[in-house]
Amino acid sequence: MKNRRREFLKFAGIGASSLALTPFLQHAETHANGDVSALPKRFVFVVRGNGLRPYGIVPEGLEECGKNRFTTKSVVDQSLAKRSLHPTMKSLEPFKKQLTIIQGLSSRICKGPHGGHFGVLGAYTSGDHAPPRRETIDVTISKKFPSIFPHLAFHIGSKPEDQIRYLDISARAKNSRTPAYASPKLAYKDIFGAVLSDDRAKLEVQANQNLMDFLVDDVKRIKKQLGASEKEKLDHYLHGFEALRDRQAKLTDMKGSLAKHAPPMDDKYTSEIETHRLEAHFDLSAAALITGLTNAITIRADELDVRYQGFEHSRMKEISLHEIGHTADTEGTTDRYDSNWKQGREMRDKIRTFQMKLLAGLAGKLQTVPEGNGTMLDNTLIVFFSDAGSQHHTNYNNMPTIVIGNMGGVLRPGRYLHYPSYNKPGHRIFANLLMSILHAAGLPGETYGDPDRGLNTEIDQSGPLAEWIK
Amino acid sequence: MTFMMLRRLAKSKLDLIGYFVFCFACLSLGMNRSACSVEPDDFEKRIRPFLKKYCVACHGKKNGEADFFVHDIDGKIANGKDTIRWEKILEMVSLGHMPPDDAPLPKQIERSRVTAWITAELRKIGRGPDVGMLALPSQANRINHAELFGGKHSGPAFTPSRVWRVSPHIYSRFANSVRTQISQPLHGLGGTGIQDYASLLADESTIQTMLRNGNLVADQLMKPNRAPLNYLFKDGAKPNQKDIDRAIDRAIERAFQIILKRKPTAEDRQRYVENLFQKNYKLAGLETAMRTMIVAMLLSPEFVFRLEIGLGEKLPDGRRMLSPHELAYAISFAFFDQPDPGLLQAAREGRLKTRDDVERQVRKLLDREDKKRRYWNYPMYHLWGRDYYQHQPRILRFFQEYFGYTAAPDVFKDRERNPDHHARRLRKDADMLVLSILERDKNVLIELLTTRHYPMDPLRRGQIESALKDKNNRFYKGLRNKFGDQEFESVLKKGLWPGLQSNHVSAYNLVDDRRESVRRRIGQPVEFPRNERAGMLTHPAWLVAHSGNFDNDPIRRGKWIREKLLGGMVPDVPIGVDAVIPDDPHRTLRERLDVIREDTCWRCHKLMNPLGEAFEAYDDFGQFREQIVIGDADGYRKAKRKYDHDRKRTQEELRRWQSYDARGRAAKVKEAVERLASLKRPEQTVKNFSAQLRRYENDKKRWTRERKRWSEMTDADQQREISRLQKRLTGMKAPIPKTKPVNATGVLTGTGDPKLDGSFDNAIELVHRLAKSERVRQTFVRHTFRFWMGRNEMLSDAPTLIAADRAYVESGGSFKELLVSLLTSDSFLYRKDIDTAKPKK
Repeated sequence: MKNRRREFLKFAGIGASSLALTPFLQHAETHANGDVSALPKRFVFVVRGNGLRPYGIVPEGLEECGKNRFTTKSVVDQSLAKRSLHPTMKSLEPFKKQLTIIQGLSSRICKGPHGGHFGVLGAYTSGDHAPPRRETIDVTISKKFPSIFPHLAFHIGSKPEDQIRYLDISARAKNSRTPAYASPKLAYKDIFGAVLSDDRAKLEVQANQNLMDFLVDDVKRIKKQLGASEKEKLDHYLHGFEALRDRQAKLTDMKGSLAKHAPPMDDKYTSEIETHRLEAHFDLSAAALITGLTNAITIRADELDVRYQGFEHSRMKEISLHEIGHTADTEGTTDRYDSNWKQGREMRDKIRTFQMKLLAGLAGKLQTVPEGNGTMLDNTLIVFFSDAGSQHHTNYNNMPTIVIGNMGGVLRPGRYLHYPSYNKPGHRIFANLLMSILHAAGLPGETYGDPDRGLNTEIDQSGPLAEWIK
Repeated sequence: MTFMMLRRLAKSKLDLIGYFVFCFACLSLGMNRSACSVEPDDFEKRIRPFLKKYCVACHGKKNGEADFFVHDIDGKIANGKDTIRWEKILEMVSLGHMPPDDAPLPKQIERSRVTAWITAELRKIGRGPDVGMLALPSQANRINHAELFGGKHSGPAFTPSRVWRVSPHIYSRFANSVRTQISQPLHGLGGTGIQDYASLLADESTIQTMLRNGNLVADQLMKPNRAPLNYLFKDGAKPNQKDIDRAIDRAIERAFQIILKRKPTAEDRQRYVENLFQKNYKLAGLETAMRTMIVAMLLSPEFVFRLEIGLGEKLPDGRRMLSPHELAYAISFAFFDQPDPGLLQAAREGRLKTRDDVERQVRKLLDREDKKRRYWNYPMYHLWGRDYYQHQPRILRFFQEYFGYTAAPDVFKDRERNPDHHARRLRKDADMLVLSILERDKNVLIELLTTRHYPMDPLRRGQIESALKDKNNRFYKGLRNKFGDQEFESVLKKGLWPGLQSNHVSAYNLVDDRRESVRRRIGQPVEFPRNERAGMLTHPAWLVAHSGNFDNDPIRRGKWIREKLLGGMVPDVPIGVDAVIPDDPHRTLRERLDVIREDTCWRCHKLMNPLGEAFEAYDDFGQFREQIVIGDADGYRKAKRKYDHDRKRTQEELRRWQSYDARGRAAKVKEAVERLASLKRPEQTVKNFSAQLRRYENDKKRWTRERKRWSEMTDADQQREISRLQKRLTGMKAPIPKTKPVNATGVLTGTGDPKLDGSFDNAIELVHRLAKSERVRQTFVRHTFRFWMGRNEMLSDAPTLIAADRAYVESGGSFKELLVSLLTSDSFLYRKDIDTAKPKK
């Protein structure tokens, strides 16, 4: 084994005395060792607003499950192999073996008419504008699989001038929202700034380096005036800057591998159209995962203020996602816009199709990179759902979720799972899905977050989803 | 996270830290340095005889009580042997929990010697008390109370030279002042109690967020034509080099003024301009250079840490006074979350040099009144947990953190159990209680612990007048809906408000039948019977904050009193203990807690349970009770709520029907006819046509139905309906719960004050006894000290504490005088490098 490692390192042109390995090389090194279990695990949480309508995600032949009032006495567990997916999910057909569609999970501990916000990924009570009460699952997982960027987050906001936004679905700790890149351009500079051929961007990276140097000197200057125990405190602060500077240096060292995988900087990154910026975020996510810069990503795919202007649809250019949410999409109903319900369904289908394409694009890119005995996708989990569950004004009775990946064989994908509805025997909650994800991440536990006190005591709220994990 | 960081810091092997721990252990036990000296053969000479004399009788070979044996323990701690046992002995002996009170007790000097020896030995193998942990406020009670207030120690008092990381409040206040929305990168200590302490750290993740926030602030400050730094970035301006140079100079000065609140010195200019600005200016242009410079200021240690090095006058004993600029910051942050411009100006003008100067400024700040508002009419946006009291936020924050009632909204209570529970409103009530007492500033602690006048459910200024003036006013309408046809108007005319508006007051047992007692003037608190409530500890906010999800938590309540009022310590829960309170609905919580009255548990729990169980006269929503419902208590609560609701509804309905005589019916018909006449079919061109049409049709149907109904009704119909309702009312039966009487009796022990120890009948008696106690008052002073000094007290702080206590007593319990005394003390004003105190080896 040792020989193989040495050979590889030799091949990679790096001496044994080289400095700390960059993640890409670490990953390649593990690969050379043939140690599959040591491969990093990657998690991508994509959260959309406005609810994920059940009818739009059920595969062929299971249309009954897509009805709002569908109930079942036992878990519907159907293989996807011989069924074709919903027309809006066509792009995911090639990943059917890795795909799981889950319905019937509730998350009634969450409050708020338009989404449970932090409460969904943290499994705790949350209100419409309440600050987060605890860290959320994406942050927990990012701590387990650290990398150069412990956790990357992206936010598609309604304003193109936004640089950084603080997510309303992910929190690092109590009262501390996760910061996310709203501007793909800024994200590109921060993550792949080292490979930019754009002079301006290069200069800004250098200016940032000057800033770090200045601050390190400044902290050292104050340190001189202090007694030993207080120096320790400033040392801690100093180490923080040094770590950031090191990160910058590592990124510069990795320039070669980064350049190979970095997405081209095109006009998507500066576009005023939301969908373009979202595409850019997905490109960046894929590249960051492939280069090993991070192992945990959270993407806020849209929010209620967003307008989907990029689509060929006269109505969608005018109204925001919130108004689309108020547009009827169920046969026979009208709404305050007097639209035909077919128009409401059309608009929702367009958005869903677009988001599925993005998921498929991300999965496709990961599938092209060999890793261990398979591909990178085998060690990645992409979780897609809406914090508003199944509808615009939600009751949290059903949280439809689409998951791509099997996490190195820990999960059993390729299926459609539908759990019995709220308070019926066999009902499971969204926290059980989160526990399954934690289980896949090697963080097993019997409980996660707050229990739902509204559920009958006979209903088991503990542990992962037995039907989904191996 | 913070605690982990402190632990990591503690693990560093710096000699000095080890020394500091050792000194701390010695200080905390009230020893002088000679008593700490440790000889190699001390174990045989001093330790073994101690164990033999005081421990072996119970923990010997024959009768190892609590499965703990010391007969075979040897002194070779450094070999790693028996470490766990020695740590246990250290904990028990240093806290004074062993030997027990009924056994022969060792002298303080004997205890000190044993603990110093064990500490030193444990430290040799990298164990023993953790420096990070010892620096936490929860550990400060380890310092012997009698030593601190005994008058033996004469100081000189000082605070080690230090940097104190700014609090989250200071950081967000700054962001507000530059109108930027930021993410909070900083956190307090966490848990309960004091949050802002000088031992807090800032690490990589903090810096990362601060960098992002810094960019957002820079964006804001550099906005063209809007923000303060617009000299450089006016749209379309094409300045020449000379103009640019002058503008850069002004911009730097302005940025310094906004961020660091001072003028840049020549050295600052050199550093910022030459080392950063010019480099980036040449490299990437004006905008990037300016942005990085602003970010650099926002991450400089001067901004992120409060520097309290002691740059002022030096005394012969090595202590140095804080410089005027340092003092301006220290005093500002004692009251506010931002530097006070008046203080900064005083520092600049040389009016903040001496102790008298400090006293003058502190008194000036304390006497500064909030002209806009009084305690009862602060806005309600506090409901989402944001700071609303900006007058002197740190003073209220001290009481919030000391009493811990702000945790009430964090205790999850099922809405099904009590829909009226509204923890945020209770927290607001408790804030008002504190502020109202501070406004009077007489016997503050006694009042806080014993008052039975609770402000609650605030009225708005002019609310009474508005209600009287206009019957379409929402206040008037609200009263009419609530009180029906009662004569609430006459109450309003007397200048009183007739009732409470929010349902959350049910936590105080305030319901309709006690309406008389809640008629009040604006700002007037509600008075409670003497046997029901006494001060903060019987306030629903405190009770809820110290309760569980489903029941009371006498252990946490008792622990709070033991630590925050009596200055005692309760050891941590031993590892591996899995205490489960049996789930038996037919026994009261107190009865179920019998499981921990066994010897092994009771040794620690006797410090907490008897105190906490006194509050069993309140349920976990804070309601007073004389009987505890057993069996299905939640079920009873639900049934009772339904019964009350049904009864009230039926009574209202009956009252309504009784008023429907021929005249009443005619009025109804008239109303329906008028409504129908006023309805208009919407034009097709209006927005939301379909919805408007739907509304029109529904209204039309409704009023046609009403017209028909009232015009066809006869007296016989009315009588029939009245008798039906009367019959329903007599048929209603209130649910009868199974109950047991409340047992709130207990015995207070181990306080070290014979006047305090003894049995009590209920919480009211306990609280009144505590309020009178000298020990409780002095413990309160110690907590005040910790909050405002940002550190644990040391024995050298004894003169500061004694003076503060005296100032409080002599002023008749004035909190302002207590603060003046603390903020003009040596501990606050002087700094000293603790390295210089290192003994010669």
